[in-house]
Amino acid sequence: MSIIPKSIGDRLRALPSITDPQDAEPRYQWNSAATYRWREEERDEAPLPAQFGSAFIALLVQAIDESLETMSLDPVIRNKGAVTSGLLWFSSQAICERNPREILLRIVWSETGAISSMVVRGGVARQVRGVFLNAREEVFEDGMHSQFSRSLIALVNKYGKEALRAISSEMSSSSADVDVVCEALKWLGVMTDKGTAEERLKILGEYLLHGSLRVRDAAFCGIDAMAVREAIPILQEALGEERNPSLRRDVERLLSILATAR
Amino acid sequence: MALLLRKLESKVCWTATAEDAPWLSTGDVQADALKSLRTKENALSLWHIEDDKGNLDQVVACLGAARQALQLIDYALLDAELIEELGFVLQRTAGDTPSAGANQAWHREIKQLSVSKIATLAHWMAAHAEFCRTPAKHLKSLLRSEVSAGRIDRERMDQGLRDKLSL
Repeated sequence: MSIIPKSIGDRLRALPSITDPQDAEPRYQWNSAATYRWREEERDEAPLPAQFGSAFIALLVQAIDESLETMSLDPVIRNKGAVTSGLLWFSSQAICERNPREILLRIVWSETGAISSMVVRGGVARQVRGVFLNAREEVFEDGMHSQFSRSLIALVNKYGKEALRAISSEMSSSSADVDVVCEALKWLGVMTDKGTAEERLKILGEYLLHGSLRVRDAAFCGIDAMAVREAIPILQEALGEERNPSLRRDVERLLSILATAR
Repeated sequence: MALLLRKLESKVCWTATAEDAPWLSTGDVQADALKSLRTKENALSLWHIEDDKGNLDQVVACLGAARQALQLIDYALLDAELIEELGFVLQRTAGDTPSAGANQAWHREIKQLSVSKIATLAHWMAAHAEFCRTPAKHLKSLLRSEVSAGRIDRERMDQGLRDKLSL
């Protein structure tokens, strides 16, 4: 299944592959998932060649504008360091077909391939929704970063409380994926943005009273990672409600740790 | 009694009560628990824990040192003898954490695992394993202590984690 809207995909497919004279294989080519990509091993290092610059980007921007649909350029959000080499990586998790018009990125390159401007349209809420939708395809590993965790942290660092409001709203929506919600709760505790600590703790506290044990446990993981004394009343309230013996013990233990912490 | 430690994605799948998962038959295990028994080339990674649990903190620390975030760690402790009585063969192999000493001394694998063997192990664990959790705050102290003792190579740790630990 193509993950790029046909209107954009048809235009992009018409672009030629670019072949390095030193190289037998095209450096940039369509793959089976209809993503325009360069070889995997070059994703992090290869700069965009000058000849790949303005014409392609002009066409891309035009195609996006005309279609008024969406594509997710994940590395832009995920990692600023990947912008120069990763900007054209259309994730296989692009959200365009599932939820059009969520994110619209306008990217303009100079002749040399350097970015001269990048505008994100759609506001924080739409970006957050895009990040959550993309995350449904990810497999999370405990304690390890994912594209989702990096995006979440970047959004909170950049937009602060506004991002948290959007994240909270996204987590409580009926379409939210429970795996993604749990992962978000864990990383809300791990992230270190001091300006949003109070709000993050509040969100985690709300989810510590959730109906699902998995969700409550994920909220607990987040609070445990924050390890702040301000969590004590939240944990005490949860202890009054918690009926799972194992999680009760964990809450009691964390309360004890925080009560004695300096 | 020697023990084996298996790191879990989350112990919550193993510790849910009938109230938490009323759809689950008595004695059965949630399928999500299998996320904690992910194999690589049909082998399952475990860690040897000495009779007196004298190396437990070191093993937990080296598992924490292999991650990118300072989060609590869930794990299960299994009776090594009973595991072998079930027919699982333990092999000593090198682990892959920033603790070379732990990797060499304590890493074990159960190899040649099939789907039915994993299911057997999951059911056995649900009934007999001890499910444990090390809080992030405790893990932080363990990591600092193990790094300062030179048992964990800080250069092999994720930079973000090192920053969090001020290492």
